[in-house]
Amino acid sequence: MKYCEEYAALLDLYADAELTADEMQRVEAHLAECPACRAYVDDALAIRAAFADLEDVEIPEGFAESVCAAIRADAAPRKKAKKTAHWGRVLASLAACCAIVILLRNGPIAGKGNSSDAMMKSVNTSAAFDTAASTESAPAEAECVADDAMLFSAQDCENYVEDTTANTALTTDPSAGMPETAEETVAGKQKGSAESGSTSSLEDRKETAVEEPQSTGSGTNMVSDEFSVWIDGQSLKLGAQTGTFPWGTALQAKGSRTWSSDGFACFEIVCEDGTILQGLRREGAEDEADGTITQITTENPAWQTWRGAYIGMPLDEFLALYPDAARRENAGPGDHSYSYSDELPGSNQLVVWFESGTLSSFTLANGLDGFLY
Amino acid sequence: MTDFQEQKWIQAARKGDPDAFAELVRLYEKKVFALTTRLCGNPDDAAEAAQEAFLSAWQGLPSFRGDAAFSTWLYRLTHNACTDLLRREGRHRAAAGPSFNDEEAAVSVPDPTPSPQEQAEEKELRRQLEAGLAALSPDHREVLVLREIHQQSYEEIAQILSLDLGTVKSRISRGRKQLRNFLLKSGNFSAAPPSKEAGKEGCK
Repeated sequence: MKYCEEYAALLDLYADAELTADEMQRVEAHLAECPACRAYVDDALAIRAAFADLEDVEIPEGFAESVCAAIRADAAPRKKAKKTAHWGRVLASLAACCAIVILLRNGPIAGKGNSSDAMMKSVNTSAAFDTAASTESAPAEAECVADDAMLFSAQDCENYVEDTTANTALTTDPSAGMPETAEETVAGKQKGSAESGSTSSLEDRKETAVEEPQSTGSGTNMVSDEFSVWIDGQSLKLGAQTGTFPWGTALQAKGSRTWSSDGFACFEIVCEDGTILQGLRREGAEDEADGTITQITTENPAWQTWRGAYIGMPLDEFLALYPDAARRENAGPGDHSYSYSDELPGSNQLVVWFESGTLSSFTLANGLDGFLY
Repeated sequence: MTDFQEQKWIQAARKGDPDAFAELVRLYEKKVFALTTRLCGNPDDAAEAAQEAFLSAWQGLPSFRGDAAFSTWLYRLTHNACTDLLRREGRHRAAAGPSFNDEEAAVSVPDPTPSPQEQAEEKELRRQLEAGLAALSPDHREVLVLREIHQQSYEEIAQILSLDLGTVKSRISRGRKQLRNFLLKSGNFSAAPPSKEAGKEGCK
């Protein structure tokens, strides 16, 4: 006996209490008259009850003591947490860009990330690198001079390499198969318009996306694409890399660099189209395909849009669209810097940069271990 | 153990108190092992990944601001430790059992006959549940474990795994349906017998 397709996705959300009160009532009304769906929910709850036993796994005797022994032996040395003043220095180096930073954050845990030093370094150096990339004049060494040595050493700079595989198409796992999320489905559907040079905003895409659940039969809105950035109709998303890149498209890498920081191997890949990917993986994982993308930056106007904002958008127009953006205090001299809170899925953050009075790029970052300020 | 006590340990550990951190390890070791065991596939790797996760937590605590739940942060480190360990050793995440391509895919159900030591119904259900989990793809297995054992919300799972919420919803829904199918086909799961009122293909 099978549950109703229309309620297939809602039933799990119901069992997990992840629906709104109205949706819960709607499902309950359906359950009252549908034994098949009721059986599914009952099974889901029975499975949950059975899971309670699974927490009891065998733990090696003295495990906690061995962890503490390793700590006392300094096997995991700590580094001092950086002070916010470092951010000021980094951001001061962005003065030439005259950057306006709009931080869009979300929800109860938004921006409440718990970044490690490594993660903070990752972010800070990305900011400097972004500056260099956008001005096309600052060599890697200059970034280091402008930066705080604690954040990004000269040695790190020397590690910057022009990728010898510059013209190698970096493609992803083509085994994408069925889109796992409605978002991915929408991405596919948008491909045509993106390829034809459309620069429709993500707001437009969102409107399309909201209709998507009907076609998937999920009966619920599982779409959360408004924070995504797009290329060739594909949504670029933060998260674990499962191939060369975490999405199903091709990019040309023109350079990359890696540096070590607090047990993490940080990496940054610069693509021909102006996309900069940054992420990290645990030290020792040498495979380039490993890691987690924590930050995506792009300057490509063909696909970089967000809720009516677009590359080249004049500052005053942007501020007219987001009048409650609050100016940030620590962005460095000459900057116009604003923070703005809005709902973004998960802990993702969107940063909007301005140069010479116009919108120059977007950065999408994971708020948990990506961009923090 | 109260939340207040846990917060005290976290604050002390942040400042460098290894004894306070040891208390946190004892508090969370079960949960961490519950995750590493299902992701790593064998006890040695599970222990190594768990140790890595806790050492990462010790290193990262000075930067932990306490805004997000400590548990969510720790599970994220645990996920990273498992992923790294499996990749480092040249294996793609938890190569335990076959993977489903689709929830309706035919699955090979293990012999449901319990051994003499496994007569107890609960034990058998647990065994089946473990077998069903092992048959899931690692992605689906992980979200279900985080949801059901660690009681993480969808939002928290999205943070732990760096996924968007839609993907988390999708994986939980698919994973649970696959697991249910596995348990139903194994013949040892009959918590909710099909109603005679319902048609074979559901209510519509």
